Amino acid sequence: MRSFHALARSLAKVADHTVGWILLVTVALNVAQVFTRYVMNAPLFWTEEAIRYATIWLTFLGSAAASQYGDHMDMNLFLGVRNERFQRFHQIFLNGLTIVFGVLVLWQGTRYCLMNGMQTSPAAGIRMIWIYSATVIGAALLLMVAIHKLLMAAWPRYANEDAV
Amino acid sequence: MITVVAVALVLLLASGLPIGFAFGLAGAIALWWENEALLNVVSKMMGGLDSFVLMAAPFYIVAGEIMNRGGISERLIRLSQILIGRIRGGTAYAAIVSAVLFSGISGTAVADIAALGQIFINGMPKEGYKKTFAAALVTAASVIGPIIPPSVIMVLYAAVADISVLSLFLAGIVPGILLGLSIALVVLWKGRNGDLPVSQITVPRAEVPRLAIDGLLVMSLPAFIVIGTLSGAFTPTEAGGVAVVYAAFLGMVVFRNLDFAGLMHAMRGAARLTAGLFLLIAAVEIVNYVLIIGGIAEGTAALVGIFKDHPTIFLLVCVFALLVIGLALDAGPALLLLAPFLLPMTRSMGIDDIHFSMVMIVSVTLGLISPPVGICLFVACKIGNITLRQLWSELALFFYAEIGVIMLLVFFPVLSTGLPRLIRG
Repeated sequence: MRSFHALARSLAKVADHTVGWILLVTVALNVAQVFTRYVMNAPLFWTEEAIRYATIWLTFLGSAAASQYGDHMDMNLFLGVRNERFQRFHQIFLNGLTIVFGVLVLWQGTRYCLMNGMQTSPAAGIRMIWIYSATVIGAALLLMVAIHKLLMAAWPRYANEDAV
Repeated sequence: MITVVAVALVLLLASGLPIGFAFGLAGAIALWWENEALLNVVSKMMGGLDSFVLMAAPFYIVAGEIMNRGGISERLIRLSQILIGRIRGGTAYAAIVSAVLFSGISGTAVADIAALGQIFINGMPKEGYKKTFAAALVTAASVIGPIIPPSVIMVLYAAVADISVLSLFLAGIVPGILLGLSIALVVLWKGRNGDLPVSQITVPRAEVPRLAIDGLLVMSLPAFIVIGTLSGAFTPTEAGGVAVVYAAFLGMVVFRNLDFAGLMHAMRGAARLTAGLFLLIAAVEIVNYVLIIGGIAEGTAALVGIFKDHPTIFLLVCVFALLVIGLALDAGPALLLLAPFLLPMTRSMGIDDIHFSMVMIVSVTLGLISPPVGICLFVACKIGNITLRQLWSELALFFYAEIGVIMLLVFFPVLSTGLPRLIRG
């Protein structure tokens, strides 16, 4: 149990650092695109496509990280409820819904990869599975995070043990 | 089918589920209810994300964040104080000028209030202002952030509604300045009895040239974005990428307040925030698809029939609806969902796309400061350690003045469309 929590947390951290680097690399690609166009007069043909695909990886990996660190936007009307049991139940409920969403994306994302993954991208000619698999990996990480948070809310004892 | 998705969406959002997940699940429930293929969940999300414009959003977020970490807010504020000088209520006006300047490097209202709130809400009472007044002032001014370019909501809106980001950016400049003026008018009115303190800040003469250079360095960023994209040298996304590099250069090399660890920290924070926004954009596509196959076209056609001779009334109805939604929640997602349906309607009524979009974006943004629920309200209360009721007692007049600006925008399309037309033809 403990090792699962540790694993979920470290995977979320890996996802977090990965999206940070994705953003940094995208900035670099962007600048490279401008630089090669104006300074070298020979624009790179694949950067725009790469930036679009980076968007997809950023979204799905970043969603898992945002879930772990509580950075998603929500409209929580129940924050003011001071009952601790209620808040725990609410956390279990929300993470349960997140798990449903994660399973849905994992399942349909896998199907989507199997159906379209062998196509190749127009500019760089890479197999689309490298892009579409972001849904599967992101959803798997999101599931880990949501299960971890659900268990923490259901059995706070484990949370305390972990903190030691 | 539309009923199913609407009910599911409202229930899921109200439960407190992250907005992106709520849109995704609501769309999936409606698809499942009608025996439509669930594969659409993933294929529509992919379609929604396949856009080069979108990547401009994290670039603007991270550029603003780097500028803030790199000690740039303080420099902007010093600059505003020099500009305003030692007049009665000087610091209050300086706060407004700071908000206008700061909105040139930040793309969101929350970034504005987080950066300016720390300094003004806790700093102005030391000069003799009421803390509630300071908090209300900064809260009211924070809505300028997403109206003056760059703007994250405009990038997202342009991506879903398929209109030019650049035109939207240009269109925001005049309304943003009008919002600033409306706030200044309220300050003038509140200080009519001469009870606002005179600014106590003294800037040594020797410091002025240094501050002016710093200010110019900072303000060259928005100028660079606007001029670079206008001249066709860059796309808005490319300008955002270059802006990040410029901001990092200023923070790391010129002002030396930022190291690589700080840079990566800003990158990760911006990436997580962006992931949430993009997931929402992706999931909005699912619900959009559900609305289309559910036959929303009949409904919109009926609405056009009712309002076709009264475009202004239709605009007012839309503003009212967004403001009402904005009371209880953030109306941004609602706008992103409905814009693709509203725009064809307003076009057939003869309303200019940019005019309509600007009115909608300002209305949504005001939702961020309208009680009882608004993210900027919460941030201001937290920084100032005051209650929402105390804040609202001072904020109300500012808020109504800003509603007045929306009315001006509704009745005078040229305020939104003038600048884009003048510059882009």
